Amino acid sequence: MQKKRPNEDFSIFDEVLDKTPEHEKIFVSRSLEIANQIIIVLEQKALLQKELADKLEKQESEISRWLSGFHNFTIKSIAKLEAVLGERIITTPNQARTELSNRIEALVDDHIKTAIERIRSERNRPESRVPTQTASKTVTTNIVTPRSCKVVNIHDFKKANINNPDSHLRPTGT
Amino acid sequence: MVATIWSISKLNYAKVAYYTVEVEGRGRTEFFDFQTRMKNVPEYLSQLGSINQFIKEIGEKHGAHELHFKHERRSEALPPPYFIQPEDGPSKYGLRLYCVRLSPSIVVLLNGDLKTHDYPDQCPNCARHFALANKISRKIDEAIKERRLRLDGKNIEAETNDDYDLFL
Repeated sequence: MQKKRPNEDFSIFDEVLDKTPEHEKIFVSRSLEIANQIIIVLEQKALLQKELADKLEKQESEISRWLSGFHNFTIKSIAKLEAVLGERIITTPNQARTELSNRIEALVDDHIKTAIERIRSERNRPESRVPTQTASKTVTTNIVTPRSCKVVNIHDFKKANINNPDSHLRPTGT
Repeated sequence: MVATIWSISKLNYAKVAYYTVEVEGRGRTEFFDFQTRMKNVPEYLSQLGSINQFIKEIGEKHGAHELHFKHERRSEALPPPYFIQPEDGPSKYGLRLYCVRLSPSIVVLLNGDLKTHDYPDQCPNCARHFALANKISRKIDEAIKERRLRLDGKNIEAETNDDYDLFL
């Protein structure tokens, strides 16, 4: 025979929350956010709780209390944490906006710089200055690069000094 | 004595699903008992609210990361049950709720009370809740090892309905 689920009204859970002062709920929320941020950084850096405790010269049990979600962090403790972890743990909305704005600006600058450099390097390429010529109908191309000394169409060239990297090949009949 | 695992449908959040147990003959589930008893003591209301907020925040946003939960230091092979306990409270130790964290997505909420002694098994308020939490934790662990219970995301799956019964 299937057991009957107990008939319990868990709206009692929300009733308790409704009676809880807002600042106390916000305290738990912020404490957990900070604790979670520390956990994320520990995981990213593959650091154990014990190692963090050693770096901060604290007992592991104290770190454990910090991460449980009810700890009242002081700014000093957070400053020490950030110094040891090398990562920001908390930020303000204004700071987050400023940082985001700076990052976007830097990204746009980077893109513009890259585009300008690409245009410049395309203009400066030697082969881009070699005029297009068709000395004979068998020359299919006269793109020459100093280093490679490629012979594009061997029948139209009297000599190809491919062993001399500094030689330049020119089509005949020019 | 048999304890049956039940899901708490009202506490099924995006990241965590909460369960509780009903011990045969008690008439109500352990977590419901905890909420009802603690709510009736005005001095405990603030801490109870903090515990509930913790449950909600973990459920909605963070998941049940092991580091968010505290547990006693014991020498047994199995870790002792976890507990949730705010720092400030009417006693040196505070209101304590025992639970069994099975995964980042599944937590079984049990019972608790105001802790008044260093060692939970010597605290007149918490001793029986601590003892039950230890038994439940062991029995669930056995059931999982024997594949009578399976964890699938936020669900505790069982071969048959009877497998949700733990024989304590």
